[in-house]
Amino acid sequence: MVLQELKKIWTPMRVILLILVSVLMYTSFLSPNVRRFDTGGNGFDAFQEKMRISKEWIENYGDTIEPEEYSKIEKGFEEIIAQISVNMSQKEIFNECGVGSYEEFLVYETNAVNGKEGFDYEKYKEMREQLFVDTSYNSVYLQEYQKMMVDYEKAAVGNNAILPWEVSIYTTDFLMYLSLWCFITVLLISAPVMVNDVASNMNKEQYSSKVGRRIYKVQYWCTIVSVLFTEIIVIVAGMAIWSTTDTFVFSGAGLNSFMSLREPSLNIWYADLFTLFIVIALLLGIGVGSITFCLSSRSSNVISMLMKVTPLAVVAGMYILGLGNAFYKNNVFYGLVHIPGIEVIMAGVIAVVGIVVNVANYKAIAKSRNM
Amino acid sequence: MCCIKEEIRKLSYNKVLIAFLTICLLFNAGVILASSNTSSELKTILQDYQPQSGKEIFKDIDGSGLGSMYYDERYIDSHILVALMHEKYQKLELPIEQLAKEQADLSTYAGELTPYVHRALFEYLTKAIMIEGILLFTFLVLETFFMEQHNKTLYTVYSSLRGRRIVFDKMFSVLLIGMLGMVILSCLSYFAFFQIWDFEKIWDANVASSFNYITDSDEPFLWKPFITWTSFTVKQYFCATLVLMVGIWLAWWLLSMMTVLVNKRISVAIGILAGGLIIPFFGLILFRQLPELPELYCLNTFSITVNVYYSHMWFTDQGYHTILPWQETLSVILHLVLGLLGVFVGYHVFRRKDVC
Repeated sequence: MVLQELKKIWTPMRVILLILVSVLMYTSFLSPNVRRFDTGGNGFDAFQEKMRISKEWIENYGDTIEPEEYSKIEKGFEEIIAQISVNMSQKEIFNECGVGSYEEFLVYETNAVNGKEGFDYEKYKEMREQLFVDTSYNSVYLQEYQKMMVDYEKAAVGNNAILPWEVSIYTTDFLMYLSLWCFITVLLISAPVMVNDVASNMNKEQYSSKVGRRIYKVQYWCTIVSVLFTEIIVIVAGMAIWSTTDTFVFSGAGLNSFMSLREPSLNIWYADLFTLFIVIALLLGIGVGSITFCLSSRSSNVISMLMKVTPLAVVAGMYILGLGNAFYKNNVFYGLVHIPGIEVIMAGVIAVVGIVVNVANYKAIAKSRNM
Repeated sequence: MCCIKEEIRKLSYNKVLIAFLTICLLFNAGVILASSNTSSELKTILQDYQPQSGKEIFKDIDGSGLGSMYYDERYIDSHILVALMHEKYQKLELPIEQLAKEQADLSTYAGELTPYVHRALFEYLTKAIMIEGILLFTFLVLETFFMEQHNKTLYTVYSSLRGRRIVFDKMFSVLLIGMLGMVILSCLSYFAFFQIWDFEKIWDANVASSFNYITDSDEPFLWKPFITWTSFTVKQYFCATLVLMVGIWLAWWLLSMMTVLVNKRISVAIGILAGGLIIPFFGLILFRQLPELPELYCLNTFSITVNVYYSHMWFTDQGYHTILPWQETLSVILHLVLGLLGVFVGYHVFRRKDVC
């Protein structure tokens, strides 16, 4: 019986449809978030340099910056400037222009770019090319280093984790679209199964005996197992793709980062974001899959099923899209109720409702004598 | 005539239809409440309302200068499309002059709250109603056309020529019930909206006010002025939007009819209709990543889905998303014409094909 029900779910057309939908979802919504972490291309990107500095600080100081460690960071910046100044003193062009230090170079740069007299733009360009030649630094690196120091000094007490705000935003966006991907696969698996039995009047034969009525349980469990199986495949694929971004180095960093103006609603680490989103996706899969299964069993034909499932899909879709900024205080759900972890609680409620609805539906079928 | 009454009766007695419309109404109520957090501030603004408190912006805007941000970007690999974009923005200069002459930019509209008001009405509520209408017509067409298949009366009904002509009764019953349902839904939704948002003093304001602007993640401009092809008051813009919305519903109704007439299988029909709605949406993201094939992106912008997606920017230049002036209107007319032709051809195919 179980095998037969699984065969009904896993038809070749459905598998092809799942693959097509997955490709569309990945290329449209998930890959842009992954591509932001690409290190290829010419020139120096501010975000890439920020990532580089953050990883260096994590390697040297751990996931948080304590005040005594911050003084080492300030000293580190001075050492970099000193190294650049030594490098400059060995190059003729800087001596020619009377630029002896990095600060003097910045002043020359401002004046040359503004076309001030006495400051040659061509010489400035030559100095800019020579400035970092024998070093592993660049102007964007220094800029971002200074910005990060300013951010630390301005940050509230307790906000000392090293987690660039871009990483937390892109991660939550990625996980939100991953949840949407899971949700769509859940609908494709759980919606069509029961309605085919009802439309072909097979359920009347199935439910004509006490033993036959138990098939509802078998069908339900096969659907839920299939839903969870598909979701796990999608989640594993998503995590494998996300691992290419090299952001798991921030796993131990709290969301209370000095580099972010957003305030977390839960005291969790970056790695916990993934765990919580996986829990949300699985709970939502169980809940939505269960409700869709029940609606499908109560629909006399496919169109009736679609009319019932579409509003559910829209509401659930909006819940998932509302997971942007999840676990931060500017999340739309937190903003309404001010309950930490409301995002997970809502998914849990949906799962419980789905299970309760199906238990009630099964009891109604088991008790009914007339089909 | 008796067949049309029967078809109407079959559709209108469908409890799921009523449940669907009720859920849509509740959803619209949720959308209205969620987007109405600044409605009380609007009442405060309207107490000392001055019709003209905006800034002069149109005198400094040049159509070609505005267009230069779009010219050699998305359509760069197609000379024809680039030429059409150039032409579109040259044609925009006349409307800009007209708007400047009428001092449309000085119009207050809803003052500092203009973007919220405009978004609440035209982006959230109207778009939701449009999508609900498309879904309703899809469900009604599928329901009515596959009813005989479900009830196993297919062979009896379609075995004669008169029986096959029942498709016209079905067509018009879907049109009547669909339009009636959407009129009731729209009236109730807009009634609720205008109870919360006081538009009494806003109706005669110009939508091209300097307080109104377009923000779109796909735009090179942070805040682009709302430059319409002709001068619209808010009332006129709202009416034009409603007319175009009805046009979209009619076009979708015709395309759905064409799909079910040429298909025997409900799953194929559902697949085609779902694909027709979903693929253009994904196309907006995917075709943009194929700069060697700009024609794909351009063609996609004529689809119903993309028109609905950018409905809050209707009757403006719409940047990358159009290559012709009034493209959204032309697109709907094109769909209506193709739909009518499609239904005509579809009926002839249906009349001749076997039912088994």
